[in-house]
Amino acid sequence: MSRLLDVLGEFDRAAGPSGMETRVMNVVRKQGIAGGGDGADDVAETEATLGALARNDRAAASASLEDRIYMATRAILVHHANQLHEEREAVPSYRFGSTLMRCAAGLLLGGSVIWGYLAINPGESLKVKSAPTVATIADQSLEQRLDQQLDDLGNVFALAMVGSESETVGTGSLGTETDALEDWFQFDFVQGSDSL
Amino acid sequence: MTDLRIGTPGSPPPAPPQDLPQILQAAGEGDERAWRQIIDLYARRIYALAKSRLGASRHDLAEEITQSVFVTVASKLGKSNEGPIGYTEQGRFESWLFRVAMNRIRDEVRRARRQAEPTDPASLNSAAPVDGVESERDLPENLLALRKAMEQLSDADREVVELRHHAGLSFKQIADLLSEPLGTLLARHHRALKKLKDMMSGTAEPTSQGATP
Repeated sequence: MSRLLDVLGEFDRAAGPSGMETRVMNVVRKQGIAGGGDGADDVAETEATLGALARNDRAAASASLEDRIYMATRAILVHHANQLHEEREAVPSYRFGSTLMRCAAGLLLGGSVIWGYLAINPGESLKVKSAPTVATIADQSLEQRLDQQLDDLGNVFALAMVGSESETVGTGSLGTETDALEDWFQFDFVQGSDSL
Repeated sequence: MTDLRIGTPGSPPPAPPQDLPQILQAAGEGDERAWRQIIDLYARRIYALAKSRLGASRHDLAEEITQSVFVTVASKLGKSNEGPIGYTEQGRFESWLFRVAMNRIRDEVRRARRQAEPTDPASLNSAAPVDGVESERDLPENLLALRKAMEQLSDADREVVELRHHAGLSFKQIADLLSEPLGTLLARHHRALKKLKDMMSGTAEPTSQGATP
């Protein structure tokens, strides 16, 4: 039985994939547990060569590289830094000035709006009252005729009053006054119908 | 002030100084010494990144890109107190700086691919600038082989490798820069190194350049 188990063990060990040991060693080395390695499939040598190539490349730059970069860029840095300082220093006066400017602009704008409104819609105090336009409904000639007729009517009443006072005088004069009254009525009927 | 340049081969990129936020703030306020310190810290790392990505023959272009990155950074730092317009320090300066650099480098790579598509491979070889070739002449053989192998990597793999080794960023910073999970980047980096190793040893077929992983 034990012999059979040994054979099975040997068979299982042989069934492991090729390169398994190397992969396990790489994983262990990455974890920092082991420091050694056989170097056959290891990348440490390549890594070291890469490090050497990188150092060589860094050293291959011109000796004056840093100086040239410094000379080319210091002006830019100083320029931006000065701009920043100027902006910082200018902040209080800038804000004060801008507030004043905003107030002035607001006043100007408000005044313009009010002036424009009043120009279009003037207020009561500014309105010039114009005389009311009354339609001319009366005719000048009609007015004159009405006055004349009123005068004539007044004359009739006056004559009537005079007649009542002169009854004692005689009937002759009374006849004369009656004729005059007839004339007036005749005139009034003719003229009055025209006027109506 | 100590010299922070990384000019000597063999020296790894230094860790960012503890007082980096103070240095950045001082630079933003126009402190030229602080600004010089930032240039010394990062100029060669950006240059190496650009040179590796664009090819060793584009030495001048790599320097030009490095300078343009610092012009951008200077403009943003000078406006650092203006909110979204400028840079606001949140402990991610290096990620932001190398994102600016990567964008600039990607633009240049796209432009180069658009402009130069020679039909004859012989004309491509003859058109390579001479100064770049000369600068690579002193390179050890294994480094030359590695550079050639890197050119065969896909863009995504190559970016991770270059940001890690040439720019000297941590995986966390790279994950932040590329907006990808940390585990994905670790796996990609390991896979890329494996590919490089296989290519250098001649056991792997080179992948097509620019292919997605």
